[in-house]
Amino acid sequence: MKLKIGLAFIFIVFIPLVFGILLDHMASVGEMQGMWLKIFAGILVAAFGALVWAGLLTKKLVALSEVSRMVAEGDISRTVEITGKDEVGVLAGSMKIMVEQLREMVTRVKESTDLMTEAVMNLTTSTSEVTQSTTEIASNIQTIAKGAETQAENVERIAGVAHQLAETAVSIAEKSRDSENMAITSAKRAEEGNDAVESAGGTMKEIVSHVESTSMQVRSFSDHASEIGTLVEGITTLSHQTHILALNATIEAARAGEAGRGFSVVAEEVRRLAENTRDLASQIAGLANDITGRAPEVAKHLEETQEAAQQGLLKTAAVSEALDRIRSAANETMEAVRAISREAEVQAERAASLAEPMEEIQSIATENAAGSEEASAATEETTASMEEINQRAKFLLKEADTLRSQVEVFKL
Amino acid sequence: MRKLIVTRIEGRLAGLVSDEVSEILPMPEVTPLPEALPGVRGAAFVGGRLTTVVDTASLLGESGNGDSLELLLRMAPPHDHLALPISSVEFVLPFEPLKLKEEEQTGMWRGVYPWGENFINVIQLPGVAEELTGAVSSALHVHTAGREHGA
Repeated sequence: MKLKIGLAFIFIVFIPLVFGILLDHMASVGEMQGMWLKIFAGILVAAFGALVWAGLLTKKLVALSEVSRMVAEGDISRTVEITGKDEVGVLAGSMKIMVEQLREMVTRVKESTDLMTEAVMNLTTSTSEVTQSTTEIASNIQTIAKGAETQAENVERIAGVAHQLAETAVSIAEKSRDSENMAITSAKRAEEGNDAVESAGGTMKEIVSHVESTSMQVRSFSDHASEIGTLVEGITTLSHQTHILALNATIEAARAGEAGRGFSVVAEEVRRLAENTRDLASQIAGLANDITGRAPEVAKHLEETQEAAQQGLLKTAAVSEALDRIRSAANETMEAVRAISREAEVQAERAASLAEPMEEIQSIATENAAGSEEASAATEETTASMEEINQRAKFLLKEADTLRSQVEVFKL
Repeated sequence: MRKLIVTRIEGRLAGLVSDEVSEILPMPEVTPLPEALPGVRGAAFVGGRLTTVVDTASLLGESGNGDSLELLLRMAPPHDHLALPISSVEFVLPFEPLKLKEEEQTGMWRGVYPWGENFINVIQLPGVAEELTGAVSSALHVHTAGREHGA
């Protein structure tokens, strides 16, 4: 090959040069025309020579060129049949190998492109599915986050309510203890009241007894007063009669004259005594009548007092019974309040024990809400990443399509 | 010694000389006499004797004040068939005739007798008897005869 090229170089360069030199020596014709003629001749000669040599040398090259052209056009289905041991043959062999490798490469590229396309499609599908799933997850996480937030809020409210409940339970326990003390006091008061009523009942009985006795005495006094009145009437009658007798004695003494003077004095004294007796009797009668007249009123008052005392005794008994019932009710109330107080204390303890777990739950719920927010953010980032992957997958697909379109240029 | 028996008649004090009084009795039951003369209340049995009871109010010209007549004062003889009802004997005074002022006597009134710073009208019972005896005695005796015949 090198030889052919050398020879070709000689034909192409040296022959025209030589010819030109020869012609220089023949420079009788115009120098310019001669130059041009030289050139033209040289060129013709060179060209002819080149053609000949090219024809000889480049036939294979042309074949190789044709192969190269076809390869360049993408047709790599043809094989290089040129053989030889010269450089062209070596070149042909190399090109054959090259074409075969190129074909193999293009085939692999096609296959890889197809696989890549398929993989990209699958990736796109997967990314879409992942994006959809991620979107759903993000939505669910958002929902969970909102739910966690709501839960945290509810837990906070519940914690607040639990705290208030604990405080209320404590207050109820305290008030239950106060109520218990009040019930105890009420029971004691009822007991004291019952004792007082019983004492009053005893006193009322004594009063009734005294009133009855007094009433009997008043009736006796009234009877005595009536007797006194009767006696006073008798005394009055006697004094009246005595007075009349004294008057008559006075009259007889006056009629007797001097002899009756002493008798007149006596009669006069007797008359005065009778008058005094009558006056005293009248006073006694007045008092007796007053006593007798007031006795019924006193007796009536005593009867009313006795009746009132009886009524008081009955009411005292009723009050005693009521106080007994009150005392029983107070005792029952006290027992019930004690039970309520104990229960309230238990509830207070339970409510107090509930507050701490609720605070923990609240803290956990808050953390869950924050975690959900973070998860949601991460999901959104994932979604964005998936979207970016999808975009890049689309880009790869596009590039794969481009590569395929370029590879498909090659005819296998 | 004579006494002035001061009585209460028709609400006022009236004195009676003890010489003109026979006795003083509790007021008995007086039986009214039909168609009796004015001044006569009725008749009563006093000490077993029928006695004419005088209507004091009419004799005094009073209409009667309604005071209860508790005593009956029988006159001294000879008019012991007459009796004067009175309300009461208030008191008895020594009677001194010289103190009696007779210039004011009218009808049955004898005069006035001093008593402290006051005066007591004094009744003369004989005068009262004289006014009634003639008119009453006949009617009384007729009535008495009828009753004795019936008994």
